[in-house]
This record gives sequence, structure tokens and C-alpha cells, in this order.
Amino acid sequence: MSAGPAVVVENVAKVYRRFQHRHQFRTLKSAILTGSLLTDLTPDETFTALDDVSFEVPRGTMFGVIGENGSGKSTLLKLLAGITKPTRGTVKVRGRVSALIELGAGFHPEISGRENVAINGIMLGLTRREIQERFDEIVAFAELERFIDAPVKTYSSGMYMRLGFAVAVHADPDVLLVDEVLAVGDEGFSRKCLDKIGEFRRRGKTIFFVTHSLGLVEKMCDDALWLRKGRMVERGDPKRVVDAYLTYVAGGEEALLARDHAQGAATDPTAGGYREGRWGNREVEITRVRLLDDRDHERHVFVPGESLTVELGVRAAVPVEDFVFGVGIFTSEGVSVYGTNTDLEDYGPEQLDGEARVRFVIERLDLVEGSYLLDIAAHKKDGTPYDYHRGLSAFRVKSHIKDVGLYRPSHHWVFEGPVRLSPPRPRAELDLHDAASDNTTPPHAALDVVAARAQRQAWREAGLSVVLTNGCFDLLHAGHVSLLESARGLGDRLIVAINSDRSVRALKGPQRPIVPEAERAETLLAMECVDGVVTFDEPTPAEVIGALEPDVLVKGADWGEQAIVGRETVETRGGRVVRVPLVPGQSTTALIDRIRRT
Amino acid sequence: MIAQIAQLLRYRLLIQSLVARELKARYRGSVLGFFWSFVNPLLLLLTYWLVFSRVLVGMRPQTVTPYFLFLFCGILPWTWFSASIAQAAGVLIAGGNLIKKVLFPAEVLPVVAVLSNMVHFLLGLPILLFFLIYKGKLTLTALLLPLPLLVQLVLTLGLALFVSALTVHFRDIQDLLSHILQVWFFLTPIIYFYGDMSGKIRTVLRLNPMTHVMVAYQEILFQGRFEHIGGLVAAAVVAVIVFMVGALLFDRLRDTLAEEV
Repeated sequence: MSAGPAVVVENVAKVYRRFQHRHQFRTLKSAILTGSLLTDLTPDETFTALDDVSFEVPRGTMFGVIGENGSGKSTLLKLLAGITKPTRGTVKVRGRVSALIELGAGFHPEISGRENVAINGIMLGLTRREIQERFDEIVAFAELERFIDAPVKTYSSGMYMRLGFAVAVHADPDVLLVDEVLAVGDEGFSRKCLDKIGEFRRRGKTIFFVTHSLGLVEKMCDDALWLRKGRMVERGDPKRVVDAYLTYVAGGEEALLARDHAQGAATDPTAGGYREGRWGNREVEITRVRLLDDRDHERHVFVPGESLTVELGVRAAVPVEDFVFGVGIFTSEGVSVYGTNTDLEDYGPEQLDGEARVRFVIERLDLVEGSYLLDIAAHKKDGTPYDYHRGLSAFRVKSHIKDVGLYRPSHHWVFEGPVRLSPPRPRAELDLHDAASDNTTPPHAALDVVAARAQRQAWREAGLSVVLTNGCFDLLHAGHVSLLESARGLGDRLIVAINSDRSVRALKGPQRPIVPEAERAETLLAMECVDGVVTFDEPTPAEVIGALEPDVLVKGADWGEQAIVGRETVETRGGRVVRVPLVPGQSTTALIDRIRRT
Repeated sequence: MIAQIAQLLRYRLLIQSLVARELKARYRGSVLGFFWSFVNPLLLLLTYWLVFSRVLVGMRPQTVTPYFLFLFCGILPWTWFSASIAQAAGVLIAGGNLIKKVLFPAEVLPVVAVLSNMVHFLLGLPILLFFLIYKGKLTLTALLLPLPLLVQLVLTLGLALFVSALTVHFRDIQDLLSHILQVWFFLTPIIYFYGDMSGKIRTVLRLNPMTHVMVAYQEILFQGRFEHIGGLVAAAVVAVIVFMVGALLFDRLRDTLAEEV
């Protein structure tokens, strides 16, 4: 395939035509009578879904499109898929396209999953042989091994979508078009879809992504486009596009108008105030906004109850005596959660001259899970803005508890009398400190699977790849060190899964383990190359591997490739399995023998 | 026309698997399953035979005996024809999901409707042949069977394309169609013998391409001769024209399908 952009859209417009029913009936009659069937098919009303849209998507990048409902996102996707043709302009897509517009479209309910996979594959342009080769992979990915021969009508909607997704991604497209589909299905499935999309990206495929999930666009896309009423509003760096969109969503039309208005009044019209969602005369300028956690690390994701500090760098070109600093928190829907300023709280301004730092410290961030936008402002007492940032900063609150509303008052439950409840499942509350800072501190004790998973998730969010290896490690020796060091070399973080004492006994007999699990964990964690230890009770690490979904699974080369537990799990989720050569003569069993003999 | 056929050949794998799916799905869950392919034409045959041998005895043509076998020779291909057209009318609307959400060659759907009904026809054929042999009617002319079959196939495909694309824009056609097919049935020599007709009626019948196809079937299978060659050739020409018009119309409306379905 030649180089150059994967998708080229040039001055594209799409005009839909509407026919009215009564009109239609008349047309049929007169059309038959006059025989002018084709010429009579003229619309009496048109609707412009897209207008003057142009962009290119370079190969191997991920392109996100955001916008409200009815902004033309889906129409754009259909044009790229070739389902409809543009009214004006051209659309060029190079390579095989697979569209995840509606998962499982074209499944026939009466026939089995197996037959549907075959037919769906053919529809997506695969040959019989290709389908046969990929069949097992598809079924494994959809996790439908047991049901693949049942008619599709007996599937749950989740199963249906899993199968649809599995077929579509295994069609091995060069360009993958993804609609909102990922939002549906359970969390595990969405994650799996995202993993698969990540894998596509690594393989240099082009992904075109239409979504309402702004976080995903910011996190995953290289480039973004915001459509409003069929027109391009903003295009470029995803963060900037999302910010601009959020500003618009938060303030609606009014904010846009205010911005336009403010720009007209701004002293410096070249400041680009419009783009950044910012207005004011800049006599006092907010030069920097940072969101900090309790360790003063910059962060954008917080856990309820943590502290959040909004730090403003401000600068007054000339000394001012009339100034107010304000902060407002809004939900992504634009609902005001809280707002205050120094004037409301009776701080009397005296003087601001040159550069200063203002910190607004929220001791406990008692908010429910969600995305929040900040209004940050410096203005006069009468409200005349110096520098008003609307929705330019955002943060997200993440929680295991899916409570609702806006505000989470600090609370607890008390039960008295004949009422019994089992205590809540212990959950590892997310620790996001590590995810944010570059200096990722490893945990200092063995984790259970849930906590390890949270840790792994945090690492993943920080863009770090995770290596997993497992074993008993009940007598650490040089062979282990070399294995662990090579393992760590294969990724950014290494988690070692160790068999619990009970598990070791079951595997190796009552004499083992020589060193109990807590001490084993401690020893391993003392090594520089080990970032986390997780203990598991089962005879095999299958469950741990499934839960942690490592990017790399490492085993000693004494293991046959087929014998490695969890190999398939890792590979179907886009990870790889690596066998590391062992140091000859170094093994725990040999060591024990040697001790016995002396 | 060559281009259109080439196009269809390109999709043959898809068409093939969709026809297979159609056949599998059709009777899944029913007790008789695939036997419905045989039972359906038999029941239809039984109905007409009862009417003409018990109720309207005097109306039945005396020139062809046994009458039920004559009837069978016409009803079987007619069922293919009418079921195909009726199904094709709704097939794009029913398959709207495919056309709207997937890059899918829409013309495949009416073609699948015609071909899956053809399979039912071919499955019914052995029963007819069995009765023909049983009554000693079958001769070597039966080897000419592919001729009317081919003409009918092209004609049906053309009409199916035409009707399916047009129905998307004019839903009325779906309702109208059952009546048109009913009238068409009686204007085709199936329950009566073409040779018995004369005058104006014969002229009208002659304008109907299906007449010639039916007469060809009846001659080849039932009468053991084939003299209606001119008629079949004329029907073939009409069939090709209908196919071209149908394909052209479908092509012209193709871009509107995804929006109007």
C-alpha cells in the first residue's frame, strides 16, 4: 500500500432529502401514469447533515470525532464506510475498511453463531479460508465457546455484541471505523474492546473514532475533530478540541456568545481568546492553572475524599488594587456544583503587583464519580473580567462506589436492633498518586488480586506497560534474579505473582515452602526490578493472569509454550508471552538437594 | 448487462452463503423442516385439484389428462416466480439494517430471494418427475428443461431488482403486488390449457412472457414435445430487456436506498 493519508475528506457536504407521504402517494400514481418515475423522485425538503468538511487522517493514527447528537458524526462515519455517498466533495479511504457501526448487523437470529460468523465474515470481505483460520480466535475473543452452535436469537444482547465485535475486528481492516458501540456492554467488554483498539494502534492501523466519551478521545486519539451542526468547529490536538467542546457544552450558546463578545472587547485581539475559551482584558493575567494532590503532584484524576488544590499563577502588569479571585466547579453537563470567590468570602483586596501564586485548597473533595470543569477567574469587584477561564481546566473523580448526585457528604451507616448486613466487600480504593507522578512508587507489601488490579490499572493509565511472572520463589537464588531482571527489562513495571503457602504445599509437598509467603513477598519487593507482588491461593495463576491482563507474561524457558497457563488469555488480549532462558544448574530443587547433602 | 452479471458473480460467495442461510433459517424450528419445500407445492396442487375435480368439474380443460399432473407442471414454476417477486418487494426494507449500517451490496438481497426460491423449486422438481414417470408421461424432451428455467430465472431476477428498489420509495407496491400477482396468475395458462384458448384472450395471453415460459414447461414435461420455440425465444428477449431495465433502475436508485430504507 502506498504511503500517504489513510483517509482524505475534501469539501464534503451531505444533504439528506425528505419526502412527504402524501406527496409520495401522488408521485406513484402520476409516475405510473406519465411514466416519469425517475424524474419525479425529487425531494421537497432538504436537510444538510454535513457542510464543507475537509480533513486528512494520516495512516497509523487514531482520529476522534466529537459533537452533540445530530452534529453529523454518524453521517461522516457512513460516508467513510461507503454506505452513503457525499452530495458534494470527495471521500477517499485507502485499504480495507471495517465499520463497527452496529455490532452484529446482519446476524440472522435463527441460525447458529458459527454460521453467522461465516456469513458476517464474508460480508466484511474475508474469504472462506480466512474465516476458517480465524474462527477459533473470533470465538475465543467473544468468549462464546460454549454457545457458538446455538442460534443467535438465544444470545443475550451482550453476547450478540461481543460476537459482532469479534468478527469485525478480526476482519483485519486497514482502517477501523468505530461508532459509539464501545459504550454499550459491560465494563469488562468495553475494556476488552479498548484493548483491542489499542492493539490495532500499535500495529500501525488507522482508527476513526466517533464518540461521546471525551476522556477516551483525550487519552487515546492523536487528533480530534469537533463537529457542530454539520460543520467543523475545531480540529487538532485532542486536549484542546475537547476543552473547547466542554467550554461550549458547559456554557451552551451563551458562553460562545459571551466569548465572541469578550473577544471583541479584549485589549489584545490577537491573543486568541476565542479559541481557548477565555476572555477579559488581561490587566491581571492568569498565567498558569495546576491541579495538585496532597503531595503537590499535578493530577487530573482524583478519588473522593482526597484533597485537591487549584493553583493559579497570576500576573499584574501594573499594580492593581481592585481584584477578586474566583473558582467555580461545574459538571460536564454544565450544572454548577460550587462557586466562590475572595470577595464573597470577605477578603479585602489591597495590592497585587507582578507575579503571585494563589492556591484554592479543597481539603476533602466530596464529589461523586464524574468529570468536572473549572471556571477560574480574576476580575474586578464589579465583575469586569481581567482574565476569565471558562472550562479550560477539568478533572475527573473516580470511585468504586457508584453513588449518585453531585455531592458526597462525609457519612457512615449505623444499624441497630434486629437488622443484619454483611459488611461491604473490601475494595482497594484507588490510589492514584502513583499514576500521576513519574516517580511511580511501588507498594511495599504483597497485594491481593483486587488491589493488584487497581495498581495495574493505575499504571496502565499512566501509560506504563506491565510484565507479570509467577512462581513459588520460596528460596530465592541467582537464577531467579536473572529471570526477574530480564522480565523487568521487557516492560515498565514487573508484578510477581507468588503461590500462597497453602498453594505451594499443595504443589510441592508438605516440606515446602521453605520461606513463608509474607517473607517471600518482602524479599522480592526488596529487589529493584520488582514493582509489585501478588499472592494467589489457586494451584495455577490463571485467575491472577486473567485479572491483571499483563502486557507481557514471562516464564522460564523450561516451560513448553503450550504448557504455559494463561498464554491464551494474555495473547487474545493483545499481550505477549516471553520465555526467558534459565541459568543452568540454578534451581530451587537443586539447592535443596545441596543443603540436604551437606 | 455483462457488467451487472460480472458484479453479481463477484458477490457469488456472499450470495451463496446468504441463500444457504435463507434455506436453513426458513424452516428452522418447524416440525417438518425441509419437507415443507415438498409439502408446500403439494398442498397447493391439492387445493386446485379439489376445486376442479370436485367443485368446478365442468370448468376443467378436457384436452389434458391427467389434469392434476398438468396443473403441477405449471404451479411449481409459478410458485417460484410469484414467491420470489413477493419476497423481493420487502427484502430491502427487511434488510434495512444491512444497507444502512454495513457496506453491503444491496442488489444481493433480491437476488438471494430469487435464488432461494429457485432452490425450493428444484427441490419440488423430483416429486413432479416422480409423478410424470408414474403416469408414463416423461420423455426425453424433459432434458430441455433448463431452457424455460433459464428464461424464467432472468425474467424473475429483472423483476425482483425492479420491484425491490422501487418498493423502498413507494411502499404501496408491497400491498399492490399481491393483487397484481393474483391477476397475473390467472392471465397465465396454468390452470387452463393455452391450446384451448382463442381470439382476444389468446392475444392477451401471448403478450405475457410467463405464458410462453409455462407453455414450454408444459410441453417439455407433460406433452413430451417442444413446439413453442418461437414463443420461448420471444420471452427470452423480453426477459433480458426486463433484467436490463431492472438492473438499471436499481443502479440509479442505489445511492438513495441507504437513506430511504
